[in-house]
Amino acid sequence: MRNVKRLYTRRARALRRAAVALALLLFCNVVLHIGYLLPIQAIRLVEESEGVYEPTRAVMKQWRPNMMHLTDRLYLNEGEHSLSLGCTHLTPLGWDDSFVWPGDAFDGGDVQAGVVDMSRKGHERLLVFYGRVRGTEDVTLTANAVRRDWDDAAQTERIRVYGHGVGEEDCLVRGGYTYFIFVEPDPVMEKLQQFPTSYQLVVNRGEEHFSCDIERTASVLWG
Amino acid sequence: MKKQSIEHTQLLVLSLLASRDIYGYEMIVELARRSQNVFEMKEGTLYPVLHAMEKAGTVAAYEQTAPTGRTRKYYRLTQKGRGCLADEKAAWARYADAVNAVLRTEALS
Amino acid sequence: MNREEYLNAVAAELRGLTSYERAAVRRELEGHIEDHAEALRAHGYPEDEAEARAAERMGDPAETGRGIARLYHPAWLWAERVAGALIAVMALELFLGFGGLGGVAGSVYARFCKPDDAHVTALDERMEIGNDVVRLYGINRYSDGQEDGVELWLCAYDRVPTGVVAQNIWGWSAVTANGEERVRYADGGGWSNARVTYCHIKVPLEPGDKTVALRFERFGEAVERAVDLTEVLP
Repeated sequence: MRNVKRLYTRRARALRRAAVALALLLFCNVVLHIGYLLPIQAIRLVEESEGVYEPTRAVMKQWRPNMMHLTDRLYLNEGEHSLSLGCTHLTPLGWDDSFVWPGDAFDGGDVQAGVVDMSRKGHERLLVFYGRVRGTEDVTLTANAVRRDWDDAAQTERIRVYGHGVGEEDCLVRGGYTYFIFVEPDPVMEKLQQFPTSYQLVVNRGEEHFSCDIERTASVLWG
Repeated sequence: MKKQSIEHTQLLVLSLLASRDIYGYEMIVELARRSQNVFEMKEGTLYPVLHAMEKAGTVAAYEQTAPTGRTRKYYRLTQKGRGCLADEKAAWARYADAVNAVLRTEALS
Repeated sequence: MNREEYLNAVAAELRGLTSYERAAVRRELEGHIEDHAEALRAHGYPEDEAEARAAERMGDPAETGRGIARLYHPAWLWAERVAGALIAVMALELFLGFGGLGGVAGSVYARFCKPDDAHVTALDERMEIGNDVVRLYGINRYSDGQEDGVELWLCAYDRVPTGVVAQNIWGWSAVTANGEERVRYADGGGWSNARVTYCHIKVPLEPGDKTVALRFERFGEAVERAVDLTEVLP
């Protein structure tokens, strides 16, 4: 048998390789759910595994480099019935290692808010407050961490509240709501070296002033 | 008569490849034979033409090792090359007819 | 000019080509000169003269070299290298993520699985919630002295085998009989991963209960299915 070797031009070689690369990428993305080139793909995958079936859109996107990882990215995703905070970062397997904390936005209340505490060895403990408040003008927010202790001597509960105002750069006004993602080092941990017992959001809206407990809480710990 | 330097090299190459796959040196030999040595070229200049045709996709190339051990690069007409040959042939025929027509009228006048 | 001089002069113009491409051009031109020299020798030319004449007939090496070099555009070479790098990365990911295929097999299996135990009656009730499917594949009666009831064997998977299932889907289920919530005990069981999850629920019953209803509700999606108990009840 004579030895025949097909010769390809540069263009043909490049196109063939690009086709192979694309096929591999699609296989990894669609079948194995790894190798995502876009952070929103990783977020969407976790949304599905959290039961957010409805289509959602990213209302806010924030780069938080060095929050817990070099390339941390936060998303506030809103659907017709859900509002979720997503977090992802770039890994050797593409955008991955993602978390989503979905909440019900269907109840029609004025405030939907959640808080996620994040810890990682070698990093200070962070609190991520997120959510939306009905109202567009003159809405200012304060995110508080609360420590309640029983004071034996005084026979009363001792409540200590620490918090910071949510800056304008952490808010977004759109479609009748003020959305926010606010990250701060845990003030209770900083001051008392103890964990907070609860969280609250203080809302100033025009003449109104009220505070609400944040019931939607989650923890994430990276090794 | 001074030997004519080659023109329309692409058309000639395409027509040589229409019947079978051949390599560069064979093309030179075939051209000389079929044109009774009217067409003669600096042989090296054939290769930029062949590579340009390969890039344009009218021909494809493969290397084949002969029983003697010598490896030769053969060229093959592609589907696109066949279409190109038909077009160029027709264009050339029109051109030749036009030239002949002019020459005839000159002889008559 | 001999053969080597000619070939080197051409190669000097081919700086933009990879060594592989340059070698291919060189092989082709070298073969041409050899073929020609051989033909000349057959016509009686002496060895040296045949090769020198064949090389001479090639013409200007710089012109040929430049003519060829012009055809090799660097953009395609870079495209090839970038695509090659991407292939290497994806091959690594494929290697690392290959275990995910087991999950796909699990998702396919969940579509057809039957109960392991002989005392469990096989069923095939499917309900769609969002893009996931909950499948009731088995039911049996139980009695532990204190209460009587039915056990439901459930699995859930995405509509497409490569998709992921909602991990906490059992957390937003409700099981009722006669309109009352009745779930006494629920656990996982079965082989769960990102693409499939199993659940085993005990529903205490009271005399007169003829059906149990399964309800799933999540972010605007709600499905409910009543299961007839007449076949499993005495």
